[in-house]
Amino acid sequence: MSDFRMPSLGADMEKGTVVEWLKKPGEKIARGDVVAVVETQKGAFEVEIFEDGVLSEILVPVGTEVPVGAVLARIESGEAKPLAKPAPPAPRPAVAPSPTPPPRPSLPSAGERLRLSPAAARRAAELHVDPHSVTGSGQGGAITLADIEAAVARAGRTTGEKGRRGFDPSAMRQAIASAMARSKREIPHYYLSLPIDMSRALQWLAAENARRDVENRLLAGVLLLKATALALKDVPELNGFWIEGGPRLSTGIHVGWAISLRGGGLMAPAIHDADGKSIDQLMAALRDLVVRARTARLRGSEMTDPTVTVTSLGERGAERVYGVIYPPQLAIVGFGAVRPAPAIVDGAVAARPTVYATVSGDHRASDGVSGSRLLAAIDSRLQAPEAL
Amino acid sequence: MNGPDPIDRLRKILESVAPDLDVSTIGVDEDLRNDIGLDSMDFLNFMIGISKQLGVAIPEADYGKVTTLAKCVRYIEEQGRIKRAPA
Repeated sequence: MSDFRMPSLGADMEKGTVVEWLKKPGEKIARGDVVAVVETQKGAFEVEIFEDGVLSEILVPVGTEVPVGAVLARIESGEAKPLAKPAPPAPRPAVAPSPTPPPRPSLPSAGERLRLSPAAARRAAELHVDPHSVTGSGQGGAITLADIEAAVARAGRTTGEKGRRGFDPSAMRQAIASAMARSKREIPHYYLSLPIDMSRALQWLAAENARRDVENRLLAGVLLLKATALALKDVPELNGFWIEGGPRLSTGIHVGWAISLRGGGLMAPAIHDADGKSIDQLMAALRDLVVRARTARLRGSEMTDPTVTVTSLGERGAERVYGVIYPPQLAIVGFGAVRPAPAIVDGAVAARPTVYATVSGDHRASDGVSGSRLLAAIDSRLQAPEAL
Repeated sequence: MNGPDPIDRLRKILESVAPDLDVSTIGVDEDLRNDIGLDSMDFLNFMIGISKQLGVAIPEADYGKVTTLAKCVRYIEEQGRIKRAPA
């Protein structure tokens, strides 16, 4: 018997609300299965289980807010190996609040005896659905988001999926505020930048895209992503976490790709083993990640796995970005917009498409010399785009 | 463009690539990148949608000619390849 707990999905998460159980008591579960949808300040996430077994008991009903570490359900382990996954790098040593404070049901008071999740309540309001007219399929007859949407679909209206489920811009702001304040309080950042000539990379990209179907075109961001992942292989001291007073480097290079959300805020979910993926695989992964970030279909592990963050401002961005490290990571790499800039080529001034690459590093874990090596390695990778 | 309002068809494509946008509020002359906030991935997905649903493959070199819905319609009409929509 083991416990399935409210996971910490980032440095900024203190509590979460189960908005949906996707498995029922008695159901078999396998490592990697999504068992619940949890709503946090950053929106809703699909939470996986990291062992095989049977879901024996659900302790926290839908719509209940509990702190990180609270036991959500009990798992009857099969002959399963215990937690094969090393505990995700919990930003704060994952102290389970003990004793667990009694779950505080955060149900809208207007609901009276009606049981519905905050996400469902919000959606019902958005779609002008009277929750009293909806039959709940959740735990104890609770009305889930899916019930609301199904009711709307039955009524012949489109849901018109606006916004992300469980997304509250002010809560998102609060989450970013607490993570960034903690970063600036605890992490002594150093900052470096290097202008990189993008002529070759962009020529290669334009030629590739001219011969590719629209569906298979590449974005410049993918080249920056791959170059960074490969460069981190050469400078491993910037890839990993600062945990319990020391660096814990990671062998896997899981790049958190910063995605800005139109409703406000941002998140940086993981692209796993980015150094080992081809450009086309990375493009597919990025496309998938952006869509899921925008529609709140990210997995919990994608929020906790990144070993480094890359933020690329895109074509309309500023020239340089010196990012704030997302704790407990060790570095954040930034790319500004690609712009024509004067460069010295063969002793003469020439206009070249240029991107400023930057790195903000945790000075507890590394020195500027490492950051400089990383930027130089990114530069040299981008000068041979066909090898990316 | 024949058939249903071409702007509406483009809005539908936009809705499928950016489900978090309220596409009905997008003005025909608003810049899709600067005003609406499409990023390069959204824009590429929009181009893919146009290619799949309207049969017009817009080359990367012409992205500057399709920055608004109105310009997209004009471009597609110029290509003269838009198919009549089934009723």
